[in-house]
Amino acid sequence: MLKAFSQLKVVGQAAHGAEALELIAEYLPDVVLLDIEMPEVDGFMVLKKLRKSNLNAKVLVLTMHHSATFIKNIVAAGADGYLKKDSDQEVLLNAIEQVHKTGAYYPPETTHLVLESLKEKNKPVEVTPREKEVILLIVEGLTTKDIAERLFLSKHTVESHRQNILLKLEVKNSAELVKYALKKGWA
Amino acid sequence: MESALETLDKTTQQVRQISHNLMPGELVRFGLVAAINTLLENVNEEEINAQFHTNQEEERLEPLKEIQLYRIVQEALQNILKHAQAKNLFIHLNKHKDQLSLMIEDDGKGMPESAGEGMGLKNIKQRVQLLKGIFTVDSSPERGTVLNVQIPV
Repeated sequence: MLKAFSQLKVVGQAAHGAEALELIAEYLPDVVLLDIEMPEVDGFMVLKKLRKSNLNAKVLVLTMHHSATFIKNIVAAGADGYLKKDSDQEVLLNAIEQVHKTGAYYPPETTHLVLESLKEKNKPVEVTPREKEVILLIVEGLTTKDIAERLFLSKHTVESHRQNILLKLEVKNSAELVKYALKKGWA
Repeated sequence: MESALETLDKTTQQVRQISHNLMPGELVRFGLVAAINTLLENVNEEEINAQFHTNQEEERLEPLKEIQLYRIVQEALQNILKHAQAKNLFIHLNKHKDQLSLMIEDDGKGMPESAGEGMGLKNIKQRVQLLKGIFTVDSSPERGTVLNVQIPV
């Protein structure tokens, strides 16, 4: 398909990741179109290995996946661009050119997805309503056993809640938690 | 002559058929946290508000543990979406010393007592046993359900 475009030259095609790495080292292409779903050494491994090497080919990832999680992970692994496999020819050509010229191509809807999920990450720490109940009972001085009885939960669950709360609020122990809750005006 | 993309697509399809249901690609590549995030991305926001809290962003577990915990989350999620009529769902995955704690909490209508006999919970129980962990379910009418799994790591 790509051979039809006169401005591009296809220097190699690989059927699996190991072959892709060999061909990239041999032909030093400007841009690599990388499929993530390959047998044995998959595209993600190829990407990681490429980034550890001195090869500086730009990498445009082609995939069926389009979750924010997936995209964040390939960006973190060093991809220069991302494209859904079912994108049409014109989009593909434009993406290759963009990656080559500017070093980056992400479809607009993708940028939106990733930015939204970054925003999520920077949200202030939220405790769940159940965690709040547990915190208030800890502030009242109740033991794990008492809290369990009061909330109709097992001791095991209350203890897990307590540990999750300490981690989430970055406090060391129940005493610090009580201080935190009072400072926040929760109790 | 086939284009690179066509060749790649065929290979992909073959591999996908073989490995279908074995291990989700995302789990293998990026680990449990990414795979759970993706599961939750696919949950309809209007149906339920799902939140995931973890201190395991950068961590990888043994593959057997990752797949079992992933299946537990999948199973629990299905149960909640099918039966719980919950508005909110919280998943916590945290390591406390040498224990990994997975807690799945919803604010739905709670489980009937007979639910313990259902396949979903039985499967989860079995998976936790395989991981030599502890499993508790707390549920009361109109106060939701908490599934709590703790495994040694």
